[in-house]
Amino acid sequence: MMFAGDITLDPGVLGQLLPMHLRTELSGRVLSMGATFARIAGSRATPDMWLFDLLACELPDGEVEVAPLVGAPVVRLRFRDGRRVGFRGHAVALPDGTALFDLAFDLVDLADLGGARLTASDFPPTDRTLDMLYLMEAKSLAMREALRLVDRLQDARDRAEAAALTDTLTGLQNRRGLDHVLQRTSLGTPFSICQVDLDHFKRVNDSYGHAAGDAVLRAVARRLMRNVRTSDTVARVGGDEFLIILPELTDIAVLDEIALRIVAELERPVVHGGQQCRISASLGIAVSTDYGYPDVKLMIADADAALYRSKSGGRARHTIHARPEQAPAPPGPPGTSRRSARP
Amino acid sequence: MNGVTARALQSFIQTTYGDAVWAAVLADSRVEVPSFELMLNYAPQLTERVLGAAAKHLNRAPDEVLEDLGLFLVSHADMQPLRRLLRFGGVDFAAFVQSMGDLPERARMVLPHATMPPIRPVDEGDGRWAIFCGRRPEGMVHVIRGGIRAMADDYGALATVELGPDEGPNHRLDVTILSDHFSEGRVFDLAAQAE
Repeated sequence: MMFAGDITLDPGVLGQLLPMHLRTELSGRVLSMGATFARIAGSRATPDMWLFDLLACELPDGEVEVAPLVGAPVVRLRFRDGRRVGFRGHAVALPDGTALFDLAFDLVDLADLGGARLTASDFPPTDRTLDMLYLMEAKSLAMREALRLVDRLQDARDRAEAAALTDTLTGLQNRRGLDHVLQRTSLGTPFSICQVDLDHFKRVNDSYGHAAGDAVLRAVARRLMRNVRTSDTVARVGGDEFLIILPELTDIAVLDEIALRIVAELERPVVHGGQQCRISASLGIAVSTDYGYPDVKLMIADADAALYRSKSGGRARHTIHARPEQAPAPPGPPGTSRRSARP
Repeated sequence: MNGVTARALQSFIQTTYGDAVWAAVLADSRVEVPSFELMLNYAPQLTERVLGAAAKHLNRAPDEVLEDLGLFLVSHADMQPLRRLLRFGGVDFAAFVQSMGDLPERARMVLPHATMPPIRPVDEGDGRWAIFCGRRPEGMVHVIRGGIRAMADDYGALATVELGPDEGPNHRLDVTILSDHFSEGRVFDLAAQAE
């Protein structure tokens, strides 16, 4: 074979240089192919076959000419039979009037080399197919390990969150934190429990979105903290439910005053994103001195019942649970305290 | 120490000697983590402490533990993926040895924080190779020695790998290939799915 100038290449040398080549007549008859390409083609390749019987080309339908492929920037070919392994390459015209195609695997068929049992010796050292395979395999290993790490960190975070005593949104104690405080609360000293349930909170969430809702909850937390003593505990025990423990405070007049202040404070609008978010609160209070032996569970249930009375009485108010022996007081105007019997 | 070394030691000890030995090694080395992560970095002193505790528990010299670690990383069934990556180095054992200079860069391509010493193989003819290996990270030459021995088995070659006298800033490993096709070796298909 003569190239421009005076280089003669033996087909065997050509095969060594380009093991993934195909040489055809311009008519399309296949003259020779590189050993690696022949191994990939396997029984699909037969002597003297036509290029377009072996490979389909992304050309307008019915096009079976080699000539338009020669010199094209990229030629894409695909086996017609068996697995439709894809190749990309280019074709050049040789001085003897033949066309020389040099091909490489399409990316999708590279990972398993088109199903052909090739070995490293099938690729010349200039061909980085092996490095690609190495990198693909190494990358998926590293990715798997990274994803496992993310899973483990996520797990650890979930566990830490479950074990946490603080509500991440408001910084108040959460239910677990409250349980810890209650365990530490000496039942020997008197204390009060105040349940706080926000009124119209759902409306804020629905009208202005969850970000506004979160802003309101944070404001509520701040205002509750500001209106109790540092020795008191404020916990967020539900979405819009809070519980306050007030140690050594059983004076009804003081409790009334605190409750009124809390309702008034929480009724001040919270500005979020230019919106004025308005809520109120219903409170229910239970006092340990009303019990022969203060049972925290019972006190919380009673505070809940008192809270329910505040709600059904028109919201935006507080109710102090009555001693069992006391008769319920007549209802006062909204916002003032009233006493309720245990339901 | 990076997580690669730490994690490798952990896998080796847990798999070969069991969780109880690993727990004892951890306790001895006063390491606060229950498990090392491949992707994370740890303080450099941690490896030495873990290695020291492991050597004590296994009643071996630290160098021997590291060489066994190298063997384990290449030959254990759980380590197939790593062994596969190494097999991309060459078509036979001699080609693999010749390509060892690329190993540190190949490792970095996968795990940017992987630290391997520079490696330079020199063909001394008649199947003899001198492999020069940097001193840092310390002890790595023993891991590499174990790894080369295991790769010889993998390729089915019969070879000896001896620690030679240090040369300048490098350790020296003397590899002698007695037979390139001593046994069948293990199958290696380029395409992972085919295996």
